[in-house]
Amino acid sequence: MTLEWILRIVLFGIVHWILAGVMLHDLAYRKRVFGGRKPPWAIVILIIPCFGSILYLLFHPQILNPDYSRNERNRDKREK
Amino acid sequence: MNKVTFRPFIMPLLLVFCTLFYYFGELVDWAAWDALRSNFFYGVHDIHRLLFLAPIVYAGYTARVKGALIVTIVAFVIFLPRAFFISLYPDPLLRMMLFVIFAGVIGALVGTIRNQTIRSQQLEAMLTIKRDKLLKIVDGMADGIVITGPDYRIRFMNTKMVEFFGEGTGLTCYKHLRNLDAPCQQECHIPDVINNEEINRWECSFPDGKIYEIVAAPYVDADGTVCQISIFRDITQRKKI
Repeated sequence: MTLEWILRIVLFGIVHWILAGVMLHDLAYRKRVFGGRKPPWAIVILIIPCFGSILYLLFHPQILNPDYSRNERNRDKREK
Repeated sequence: MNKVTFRPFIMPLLLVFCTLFYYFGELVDWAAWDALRSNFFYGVHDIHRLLFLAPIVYAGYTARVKGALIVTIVAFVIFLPRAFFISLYPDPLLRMMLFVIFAGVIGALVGTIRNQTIRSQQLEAMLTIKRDKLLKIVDGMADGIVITGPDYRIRFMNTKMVEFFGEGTGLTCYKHLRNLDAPCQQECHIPDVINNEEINRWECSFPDGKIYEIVAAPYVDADGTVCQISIFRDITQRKKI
């Protein structure tokens, strides 16, 4: 394996762990997830490099809409 | 289902659209859509990448700096397969990384500006509420209160002041209070109060025979203009005794 490919894999790994960190943080604090269970999503994010995180993002786009997430949290508080 | 429900899905849809556009040449090859084949989709993809500025800037606008950075990283992941395996042109990874840094900075800047705008709007609203609250207290006072700008125009009169002189907000103080065409020569203290930030107290008699004790102090209005706030106390009865 050439040095260039090693660097590419390292770069891919860095990007994977950055995305996984952000998505796992969101998963931990999210009340409701698509499918109802969190562990499968955690496995998807960790096992499928980068694309698992993108898949999670596609199914939980609220992460990119803080106002929507805030409304959701307020609704949860009211329901309690 | 209202507009707010669909809003979070705009970003993934934008990303999906940009990705399809970015890999459209490969998609045409894979699906054998020969009618859609165009040289544009097989050239250097620097132009195609520019389309990703739309979701990154949109993320900066809606989800601030964090959102812009997440979408930039996602765009980076989308670009990787072409840079690693597909591109036939020199330095695909370097060109892609330069774009990602450029787009990320733009997204973060949009997020920062949006943050500042929201914050200043909130502060402005808070300031207006505070000012209204203060003016409500002032309105209930037994003495007349008038706020005059440096241009001698009356900005506010409380109920008591309106009772004394009639409504004159927007008019010049010399015209409304004394029916003059120019600022009062001797008794005007506005320049001292506004320019020197002095607190002045004096007695003033008006054409209707009433005598007021006036206390004037500088006051910074909501728009940042230094004005004069004056308290008018009717001392006509006291003076007669």
